[in-house]
Amino acid sequence: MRAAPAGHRRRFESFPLPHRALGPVLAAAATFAAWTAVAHNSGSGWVQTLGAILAGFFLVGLVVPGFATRRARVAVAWSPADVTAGQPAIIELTTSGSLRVGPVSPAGPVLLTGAAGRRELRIVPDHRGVLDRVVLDVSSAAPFGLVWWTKHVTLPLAQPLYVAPRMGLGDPEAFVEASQVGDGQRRVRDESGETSGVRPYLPGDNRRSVHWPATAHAGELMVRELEGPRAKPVTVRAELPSDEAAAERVAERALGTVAQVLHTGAPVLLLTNEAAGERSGLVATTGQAGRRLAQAQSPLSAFQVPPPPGEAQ
Amino acid sequence: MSRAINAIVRANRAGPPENSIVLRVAAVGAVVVSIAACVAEGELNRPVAIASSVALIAGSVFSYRRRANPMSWLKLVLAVAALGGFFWFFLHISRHGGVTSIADVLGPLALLFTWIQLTHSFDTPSRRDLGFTLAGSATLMAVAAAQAVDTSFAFYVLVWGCCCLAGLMAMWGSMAGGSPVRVQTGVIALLGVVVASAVVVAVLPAPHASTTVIFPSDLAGDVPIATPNGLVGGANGQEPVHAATADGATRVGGFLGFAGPLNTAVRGTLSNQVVLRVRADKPTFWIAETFNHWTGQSWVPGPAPPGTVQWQAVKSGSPFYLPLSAGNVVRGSPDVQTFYLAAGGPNLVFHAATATTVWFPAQRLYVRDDTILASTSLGPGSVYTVASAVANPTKAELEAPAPRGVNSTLPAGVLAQSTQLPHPYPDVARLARSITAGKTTTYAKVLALEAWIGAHTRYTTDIPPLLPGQDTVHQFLFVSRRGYCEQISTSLAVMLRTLGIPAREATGYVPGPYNPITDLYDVEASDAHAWVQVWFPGWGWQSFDPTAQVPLANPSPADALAHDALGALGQLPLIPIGVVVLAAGALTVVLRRRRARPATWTQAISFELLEAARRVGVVAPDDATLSQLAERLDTVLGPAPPGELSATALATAAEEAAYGTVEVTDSNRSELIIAARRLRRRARRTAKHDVRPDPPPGPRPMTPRQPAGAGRP
Repeated sequence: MRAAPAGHRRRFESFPLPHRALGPVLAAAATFAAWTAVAHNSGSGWVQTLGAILAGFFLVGLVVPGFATRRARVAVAWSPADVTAGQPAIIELTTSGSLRVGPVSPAGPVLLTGAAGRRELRIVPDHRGVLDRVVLDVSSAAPFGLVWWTKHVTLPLAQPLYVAPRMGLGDPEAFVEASQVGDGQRRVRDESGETSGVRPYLPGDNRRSVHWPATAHAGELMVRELEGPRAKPVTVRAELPSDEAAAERVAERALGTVAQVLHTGAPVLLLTNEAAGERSGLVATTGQAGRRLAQAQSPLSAFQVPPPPGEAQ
Repeated sequence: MSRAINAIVRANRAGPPENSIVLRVAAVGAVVVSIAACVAEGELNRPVAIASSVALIAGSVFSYRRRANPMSWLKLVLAVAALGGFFWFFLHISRHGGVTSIADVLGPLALLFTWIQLTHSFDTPSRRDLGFTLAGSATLMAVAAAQAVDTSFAFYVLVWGCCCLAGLMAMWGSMAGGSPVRVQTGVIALLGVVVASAVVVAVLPAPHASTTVIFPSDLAGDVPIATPNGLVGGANGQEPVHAATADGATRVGGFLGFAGPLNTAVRGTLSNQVVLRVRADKPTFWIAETFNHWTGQSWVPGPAPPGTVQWQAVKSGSPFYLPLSAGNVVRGSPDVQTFYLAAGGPNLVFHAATATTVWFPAQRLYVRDDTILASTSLGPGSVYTVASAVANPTKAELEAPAPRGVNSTLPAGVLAQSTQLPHPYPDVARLARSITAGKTTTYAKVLALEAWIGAHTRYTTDIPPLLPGQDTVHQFLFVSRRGYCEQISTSLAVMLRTLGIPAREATGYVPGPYNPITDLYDVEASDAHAWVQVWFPGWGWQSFDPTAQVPLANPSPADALAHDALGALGQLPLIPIGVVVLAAGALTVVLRRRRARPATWTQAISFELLEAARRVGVVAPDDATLSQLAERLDTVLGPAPPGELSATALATAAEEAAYGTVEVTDSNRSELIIAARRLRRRARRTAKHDVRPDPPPGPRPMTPRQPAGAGRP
């Protein structure tokens, strides 16, 4: 699950195939054969006709879902931009009818659409990365529900989905340069700086910080927020190993470290390696850090995007 | 072992509660219809059926209310009850001396299946249980279908099929998240089922009666007849036969051929009522009587040959193994026919070719030549089965010299009977000799005479009855040359007899139309027929029909379906239907055009502006207003020519009328619409003379918000 080049952002559909059809097909064939044998040997035309009607039901029930699945249309109407690995992301689909939609990559719970229209599908990416498409199993058993036919559909997302790594335990010693580690680098809010804004009073706020004009205007106690002196950013270096699983763990810990540093009030300069090369930049929130780490990759691993199934390399 | 137990436990675990009422109603409906079908076929009595249906509905309602909390102990009780039903069934079968006929099994089987459905109905909380109910209704329908012989059963099949269709579609709707079943989908599915079923019916070979293990026979309220070998018939099969009248009333199915003597001077009036249905391997003549003695106007059985009795009683009881009459030979493939009487008829046992065995629920039968007489009357609903030896010799076999040995010659008495003439018929003999001159074999002579009759006579029933004393053959061959099957076949028989060839008259029915659904030949009263049987050494009596070409090829179900469909199509009033279809098409086009027309004049202007923009490839964002689009349009189209309005002016007018307080008169509206149409035409001309690149990918052309609240054009 890496960032995909623009050429891959297109729809792909496999040919529908019956899913777990052996049982129903064998049952139908055995029933029909037994029925026909009895009807044929008993010489009863109505029994044979009744068997033919049953066979008609079976044929329609076994074959028509293939056509229904082939005609089924699913598209992504909206998708979020950010999600954390292991957490569900809800994407909005437009569907053309009663379908069963099962996320394959990334995985997620199966959605029964019920009827045509917009439906919410949950996908749960299990590791960080940038998703630009989802692979879904689109199934139909219309009109009788005897057997499901399924096709794989690769759908481009409405926008890239940045899957941030899980929040790991912070480890400043591993990710922050040694000279920047320690209490000396802690940045606390200064109460003597310039006013940057006002906010409602919270228990624990200094009474001297109350901003009376704003309080009179708002009708509730408002306090000043003061801007401290600009601190020197703390550099967090996220160097990911080539092993995917190990890289995931490292990214999680790097994110935890970023969160830990941000909590101290210090800005963070995050250093990562991305497809375009090494990148450094300030991150103000864990969300921004998550996005950066979603795109980060090992400097040793070659950038590869697995092509969609059935598509030429 | 534990895995197997786990699998059983898993399979019996209750599924999620099924909330679809449509599915439940359809499943119960399917079972009730199948119970009704069993009642119609006489396999269940009415009180049992009504009580079962009521209990079934009650059980389903109970099960629906308890679907979220099914009672596990109830499942056990119902299982015991179902097992009790099986126990009763096997006990019932064994007590009644085992299975001797299909009727012995079907009644108890219908009761057993009804009982199982009844017990099951109290425990159908989930979708899977309701699926079992639907499948169970199919077996109950099959039990009813086993006894069905006419097309009225189609009503039950149709209703049951609709219930199944609704149930299955509701099942799918429930599986797919509870979406309602669309009527359009239902119609398409129904068509699919009908087409697939028709294809299967056409592809499958027809059922074979010959492999039937238990040959059906049944007497429906029939009574022994007073005269042991007497002929009775009429509406209920019990009225004595009497002489034919000019209108053909004989009290024996209206056909003179079943009236003892066959009077060729009078033609009966025959209806299209189905009198009997026949299940047989292949179509052939269903023989009722054969006649040896010709009187000049009537065929009569004639005296028995010396040393024989006229009617030979067979007293073995069912099955009756019939004695081989003189001149007959058991040769060829065995053929089993089951006759289902739909109307009261003569107490003649119909059969194909040489009957060898008869399954008939009476104590005795009477046989004379190829005529079999029942000792009881035969009312509607009677069923009997006959096994025959049907020889189908080829032309070469019939023309081959007579083999020495069995049946190579006719006994003298029989030969005399079958070449008997009331008078010499010199002119007929002269004609027959002239026709068959140069023909050396019997077969060739028969064919030559048939060909001559076919070429020189005409079939008609519209002729007056012959006068008493008039000779039928002379009248037909030398005077009128018009007549019906009795006269035509009699003429051939007499001509053959003048040549010394043994021939006799046979009456009965032609096969009748084949019904591919019931796999039965529906024999109507008008299928009654008379034909000739000619004796061939080594082959016995072979039938020849000089009257008409009777289809003897066994029709396949596909042929029969195609024939019926084409026949039905040919009978349709195509011109009125064509007119109606054309009118409906025209109406549809008009309605579609009216529906597509903009509802208000401002919408009409919007439509014209949009069309103009599309023509010249103007693209605007989705949230653009009509005026914004118009501005872009004017940029492309340039200033409006004198007398025409610009797109901006039109958009402004429409928006002011829709959102502002400007009142627009009817005449102004018309002018605005005309101006908008001119603008669109201008855009089209511009697009035609100005080749533009494709619009860049991006936002779609805008769909401006339609001004509302304005008047209609």
